[in-house]
This record gives sequence, C-alpha cells and structure tokens, in this order.
Amino acid sequence: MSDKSISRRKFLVGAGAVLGAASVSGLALANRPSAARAAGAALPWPYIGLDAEAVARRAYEVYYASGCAEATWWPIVEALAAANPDTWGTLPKNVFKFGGGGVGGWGTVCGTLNGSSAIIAMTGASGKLTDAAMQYYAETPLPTNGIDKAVRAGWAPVAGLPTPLPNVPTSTAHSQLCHASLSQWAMTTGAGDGSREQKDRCAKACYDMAFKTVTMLNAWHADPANVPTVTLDSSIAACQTACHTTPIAKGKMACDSCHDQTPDHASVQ
Amino acid sequence: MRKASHLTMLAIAIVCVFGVFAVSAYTSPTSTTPPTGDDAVAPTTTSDINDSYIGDATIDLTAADNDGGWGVAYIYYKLDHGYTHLFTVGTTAETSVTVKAPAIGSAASATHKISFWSQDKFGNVEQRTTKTFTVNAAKFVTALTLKRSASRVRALQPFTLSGVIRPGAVCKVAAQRRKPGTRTWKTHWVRTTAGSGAYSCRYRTGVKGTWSFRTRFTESPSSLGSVSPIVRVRVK
Repeated sequence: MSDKSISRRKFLVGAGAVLGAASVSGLALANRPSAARAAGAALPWPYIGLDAEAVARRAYEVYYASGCAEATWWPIVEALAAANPDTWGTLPKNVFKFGGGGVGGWGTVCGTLNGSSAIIAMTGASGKLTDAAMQYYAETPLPTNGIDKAVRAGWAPVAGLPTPLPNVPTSTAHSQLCHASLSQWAMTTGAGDGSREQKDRCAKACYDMAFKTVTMLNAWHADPANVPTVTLDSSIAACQTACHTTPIAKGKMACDSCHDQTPDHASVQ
Repeated sequence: MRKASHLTMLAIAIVCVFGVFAVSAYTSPTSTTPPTGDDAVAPTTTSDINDSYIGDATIDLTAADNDGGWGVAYIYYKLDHGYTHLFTVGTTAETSVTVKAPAIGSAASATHKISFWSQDKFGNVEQRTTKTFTVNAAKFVTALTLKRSASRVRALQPFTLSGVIRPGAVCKVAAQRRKPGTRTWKTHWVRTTAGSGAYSCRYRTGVKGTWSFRTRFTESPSSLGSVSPIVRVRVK
C-alpha cells in the first residue's frame, strides 16, 4: 500500500515535472522571435514616451548586476518591450554587458555613453542627442545625486542592492573616457577603485545618463525640432581648426582632456 | 481606591513631565534633524584672491548657502591642470589654498588659474568661478645701507636719512626709530625705493637726546641683509 502510494506520488510528481518543463519550453518558444519577425525588424524601432525617473532608478539597480553599459541600455529596452514585442521585445538581456568599465574593463568610452548612444540610434533620433549625451557626461558634475530625491521620498532599490549613499561629492570629468572620468572622481574623493563609494558613483552615473537619455528621447520623439544645442569644447576649434588641419584624426572630444599643451606650444622652444 | 488614585496622579505627572521634555526636544533650535523640503539653490563661494602675490600665495575660500538652504557640504577647488581638491565642510565652510612662489632669487613669476565652487547638502552644485593670478618670487636683498646727513643737529633741525637696497629693485623699506632713553623700535615711515634701490627721508624732532635709526626690508624679512646697520643722531 505504502509502496503503491509512493509510486503514485512519484508518478504525479514526475508527470507534473514533465508538464512544467513542456509549458516552460513552450513559453520560451512563444517568446522567441520568429525568423519572419526578426527579419522584419529593421531599425529604427518605435519609441513611446517613458517615465525617465522610473527608467533611471532601474538603471541604478541593473548596474549592480550587469555593469554600466547594460544599465543604461536594458532598462529602456525593457520599458519599451511591453508595447513593442516584435522589436524591443525580441532583445535579450546583457547584450551590452561587454561595455562595462569602458569596454571589457579597458577604460575607454564610459559604458553609460555606449548604452545611451545605442538606444538613441535604435530609435532613429538625431545624432545630436548622442552629442548632447556625450557632452552632458563630460561637463556635468556627476553623479548628480538626483536619486537622493527618490530615496528621501521613500524609494529603495530591490532587496539585496545597496542603498544610494546620500549626497556624495561630484566631479566634472571633461572627458568621455571611463578611465579619465572615474580617475578624476577618485582623485577628488580619495575613494578606491572597486570600493563601495566607487560603485555607488557609477550606479548613480547610470541613473543620471538613463534619465538624461530618456528625457532627450521623450522630447525629440514628441517633436523632432527638440534637438539639443551642443557647443563643442573651445579646444577643438583652437587645435583642430586653427593648426592641426592635417593629418590628425578629427574628433568631438575636448583636445585638452588629454593634451595639456598651451595654444602656443608650436612656437615655444 | 485611595492608593489607585495616587498611582493615577503619579502616572499623569510622569506623562506630563516626559511630554514637555519630548516636545521641547523636538522643537529645540539645536536639533540636528535634517531639513525637509527641496532646495533648488546652489551655494555661493567667495575668495580673497588678489591679482598678484609676492612670495607664497594663500587664498581663502568661503562658501555660504542660501537662506533656508540645507547648508554647505563640500568646497572644491582646482588649480591649473591638477585634479579637483575636495574639502568636506565640518563646522565652518572655509578652506584655504597655498600656492608656492618660485624659488627666492629666481626673479621669476608664475601665472596660475584657480577654479572654485561648492555643493550643498541637498546636492546642488555651484557653477565654477575661475580666476587668474600671478605669484612672484619673493624679493631678496643682500645689503641695506643707511646714512645720516648729520651726526648732530639742533632740536627741530631737519636731517636726512638715506640708503640703498641691493640688488636694486622697487620695493618697500620701513624706517624704525628708537627714542632717547628707550629700548623699543617703532616704525615711523615706510618708503618705496626707486628702481635703483635708493630711498631717502627728511626727519626732524624736538626731543633732545641720542636717537637711533635703522631700516628694514619687509617683503622678505629673513633674507640676508634685510636690516640696515644702526645710525645715531644726537639732537641738542
């Protein structure tokens, strides 16, 4: 009797497991884009106005799991996916995880700018928004501590994630590079790489850049005349236009973020 | 019944006393409860910076938040191409920056750029203020001479004190005198020397006795030859 009963239970459990596995795989298949859907999903993809604050808070959270580039990219994808299952809904998580630490820890372009620029391009918005994001990152004292307002209002990140440190010191990077901007902040604050403070700074930078990106996208998609005004750093005209006309590679990055020569350096012996 | 009544009275009294204490603590002006409400205004940082300095420059930075603001949290400054320095405000929102002058004797000067700004406890960050200033090497002297036009004069008869500073430069020298019968030196004038380093001054007094005079180079008091020899004039 007892053996029979156990056997029935085992059977029921086994049957349940089979059914569960079947339904999970069925759901997974249902969520997978068909070849036709994927083939038809040419960029740009549709954009609907998002809640910048909600996306930014999510960016703060995603940073701790997947790094800065993914944190600025995924929350926007996630927010757009529900209304757009054939486009944004087809994307998997962690596509931009590679961009953390300036691409695989190489300290090049800050991951927040990588994620932000990708989203801007995917929605078909003006490249001026990318320029504005680049400039905002370099010339704004970051982190803005904007997330403090949410914390004061009672918001807390999901369980297990650190609460934002209140009103931390800020620094203006004058550079889009992970290495330069984070070093500038670290030298100002004395916080070590990998410290609680450094991670807090980068999580908040994700908040700031996600907020900025969504704010710009909302404005541009509401009216494409809403193109942000971007004035390039004066060192660009002084160096690239006035003297270095050839053969150096052009760029929009402030020359003096890396080169500290005075404008008359060619004539100084 | 009577016992219960006493206990009730005691309980009421305790509640009243603690209640008064609790209310007074909550409304105390020294309460450290953080401010509430938004603060949209950044603090303001001021400095006592000059256009130029002789010797090391010390620049004081003072920050103040707006009325009703959350208070100043940090003062920042950046000197030339260096990294940003952070001062975390404790009891006073003041800090200072010292910029070293070129080495004495180098006769050189250096132009610097300083930017400073503050952040309040709400998180508002002030726009940077940027100033340019020059720090000149401290002047130095190897010799400071002092001569008198007469060793003896009558009361109220003018006489001249003159000298020269070497190497010649436009700078300030202070003349000091010691009255007859005293041991204390008092500065009675400060003169700016000519480009050659020469200076002079006429002097007269009605106080009779032996007067002592000397001059001092005040811009770098510790440099060699910064005090002249003492000369004496007897007033009859």
